[in-house]
Amino acid sequence: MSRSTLILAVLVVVLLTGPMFIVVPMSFSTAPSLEFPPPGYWLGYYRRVFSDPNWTGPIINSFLIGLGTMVLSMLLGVPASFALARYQFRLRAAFRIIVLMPLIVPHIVMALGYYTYFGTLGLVQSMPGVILAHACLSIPVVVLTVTSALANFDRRVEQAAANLGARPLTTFRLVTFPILRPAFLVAALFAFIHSFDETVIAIFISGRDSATLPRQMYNSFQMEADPAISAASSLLLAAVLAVIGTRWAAALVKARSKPIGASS
Amino acid sequence: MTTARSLCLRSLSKSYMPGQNAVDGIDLDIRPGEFISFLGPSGSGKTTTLMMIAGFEQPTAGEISIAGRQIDAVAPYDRNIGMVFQNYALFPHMSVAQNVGFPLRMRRTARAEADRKIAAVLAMVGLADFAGRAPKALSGGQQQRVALARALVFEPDLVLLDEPLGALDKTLREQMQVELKRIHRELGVTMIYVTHDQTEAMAMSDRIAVFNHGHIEQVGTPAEVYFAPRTRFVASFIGDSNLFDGRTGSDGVVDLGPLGPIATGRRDLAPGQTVSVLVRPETIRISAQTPAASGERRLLTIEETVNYGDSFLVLGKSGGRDIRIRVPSIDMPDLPRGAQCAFDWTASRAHVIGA
Amino acid sequence: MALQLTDTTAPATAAPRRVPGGWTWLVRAPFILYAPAALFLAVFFLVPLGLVVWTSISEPELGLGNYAEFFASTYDLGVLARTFRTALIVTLVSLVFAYPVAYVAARKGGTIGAFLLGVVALSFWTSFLVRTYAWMVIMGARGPVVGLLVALGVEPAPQLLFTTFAATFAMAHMLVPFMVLALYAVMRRIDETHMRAAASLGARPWRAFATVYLPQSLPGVLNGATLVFITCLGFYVTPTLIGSPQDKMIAGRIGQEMEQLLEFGAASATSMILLAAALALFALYDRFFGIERMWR
Repeated sequence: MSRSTLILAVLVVVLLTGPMFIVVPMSFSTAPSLEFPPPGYWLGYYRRVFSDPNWTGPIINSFLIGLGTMVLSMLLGVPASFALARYQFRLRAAFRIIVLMPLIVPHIVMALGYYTYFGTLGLVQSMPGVILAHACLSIPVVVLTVTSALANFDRRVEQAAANLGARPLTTFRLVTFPILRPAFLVAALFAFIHSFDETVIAIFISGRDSATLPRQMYNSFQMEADPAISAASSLLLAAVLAVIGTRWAAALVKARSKPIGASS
Repeated sequence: MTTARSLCLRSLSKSYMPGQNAVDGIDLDIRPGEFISFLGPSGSGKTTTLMMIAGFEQPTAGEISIAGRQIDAVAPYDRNIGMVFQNYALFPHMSVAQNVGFPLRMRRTARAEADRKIAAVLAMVGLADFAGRAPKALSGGQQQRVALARALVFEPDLVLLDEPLGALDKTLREQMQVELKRIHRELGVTMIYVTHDQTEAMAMSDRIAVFNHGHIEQVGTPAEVYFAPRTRFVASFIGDSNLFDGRTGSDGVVDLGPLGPIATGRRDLAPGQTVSVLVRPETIRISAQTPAASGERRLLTIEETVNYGDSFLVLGKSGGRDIRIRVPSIDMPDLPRGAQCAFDWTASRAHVIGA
Repeated sequence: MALQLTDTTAPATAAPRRVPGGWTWLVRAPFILYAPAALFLAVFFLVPLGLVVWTSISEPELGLGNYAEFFASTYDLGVLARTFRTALIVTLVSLVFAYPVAYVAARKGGTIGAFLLGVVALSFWTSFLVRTYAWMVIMGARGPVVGLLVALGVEPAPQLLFTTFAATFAMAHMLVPFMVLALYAVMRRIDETHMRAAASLGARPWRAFATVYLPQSLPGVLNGATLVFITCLGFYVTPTLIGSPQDKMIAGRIGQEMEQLLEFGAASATSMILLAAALALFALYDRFFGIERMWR
């Protein structure tokens, strides 16, 4: 591979990430509106994010909704994944399409649907309403993650367990579940993030009391009133950076520990 | 006829699609303590039969019983049959000791006794020092031993081995064959060994069941299936062979056409039947003398000689028929391609099929 | 060989003759496993979606009036055309930037591959909102780009924020990681020895790439392009926040019809047209490649 291709690739990813980090100096800026470079620095916006109920409320809501979505979509999505990966049943193809469809339907369309629907159910502007809507979007994420893990799962270890005397539930508890645990954790994390990041439906159906962090940020953008958004953005960026950084470091250590030349 | 702990298969059939039987009416009695191989090409039904014995496949018809007790309706986890899977199927999240201890845990064996049994079985397979390792940290041969230990530790009535040595290289495979035989001898447990490798089946088995198209073509000792195969399939699948078509005459003489008559000693054969005669390549002798001097009738034109080190395979033609001859290296005369030589066979070693 | 003692003349069918007692519950298992999810999605996904369909033909009155109005309105048709045009541009731009990254990550592997993928993942997992905000700062009237232009003597400084250009640029930037991951998923499975084989057969690097590598990476290109294009069709947040308020995209138009105009019938009809476009593309993709592969 030529050096120029390599440089090009590195350049692209730097351009990809670089601009995002502008939110970091902005978060320490004393400027009341979008101004770069900042005229001065302070920590006031961070203080506000952690003390102003207009920010703390949505942050807590987002965590609660994310956790609720995670639990609900795992409870529904994991069994569905087992059904799809391991059984033939009538309407299986139709079921698969319905499970994957929330990934295809644009969020604005669903926002419109929930706006009307939850109005009639009395769920509009409520936390359960947002959780129910987000669970629909997270189920396909869980199903894709778990079915892909199940496709790579060698069922002979389950046969081996049965052969050695384990009943079906024991086999699941001692063999199937522990082996699939990493996939379950990833699926749960994806479900959470999917809900935590979801903006469009939250804008339209979460009310003041159940406002999520993305909704609060979106409103701040539109008003261009609250520069604390830069602090919130920096915190979100830092969270992603921490997770990726850990994984990247782990991958790096793994790559380094391999014999030289094996990873060419 | 059902002795203690013997395994009986009766008219056992399995079909995945109507009209097509993967296993087609198998009858077999397996004696306690026996080492029996299921030998056959892939798709011959040997693994399906094994899976039905283990309980992972339901027979479409027929029955399976152990010690006179029918087990078709018994769930796999209640069958008390050990199994070594083709890819070992070790639990990746458990240590070697935990893998081996799994069946004991399922049987609620007391801790101290379980530890003792695990240590004993690991010592038997030569892995005493590896109890704490993860399966992934072991070589293929070591993983194979763990799988074996796991299948033996709970003293099952029967151990099934599904091509357990298939993934190992040749040297390791031969080493494991010897070891497996030793373990079988020490424990006296009944073993069913599925393989497509005929030398492996020959080397290890008390008896071999030769599978083909869902049927058992023959069950017998290695010597029986090798020297007295009942069908042309068995003759050609096991070992190297010359199969000649011929017609029976009187007094057990079979006329092989251009190759002349052969006195098989089978006086029970009715004259005038079409039969096949098996002559193993190593029972044919090449005469180093010139054809004219020897006075032999059978002349071979050499087409190719292949050196295997310990022996030579001589490929030639006689009377328009292909002939394969196995000659020990020390007896191998200098035979250039195209040369002619005389050959002779031990008629008593020839075996008649199809009568 | 054993004698046959019992007469088992059961018909040879594909179905198991009997199911052992301990396993019977498994026969009903798939229903127990998929029914809750199916019921949940029916009630909380299909019903609201059906409601949108119903609203589109019943509000304010029964009939296809909303659709007729959409296709009679040059404004709405302009929105639709702009949406497709923008989605196409975004798809092409993100493909151009993503391909070299995925290529290097897939072929180099090791530390550099991990670095590239790590950085892409960082971008991928960072909220659209945060990235949109970053572009608002960069392209803002008092931001670094305008500042630089002014310092260079460009007077008057051009308006960047709230233009279609800004929205298109930002969306392409946001969707590059999607494209990289889609390409990488296919590229890492391309056998490295193929390129060596091509070289040994006399192909120079560029020809080897064009004749051996590129064709094998095309499924990834199609995957990524479909995914990016459809995501772009339904993009709401970024065009609304930093795009031109006059030149709306279709999702923004739906939002406007809902929030400002309170025309739910029209909003629903527009939604149906957007949904139909997205579903048609997916159906096309599914027909040729199978929908499963989309997210692998």
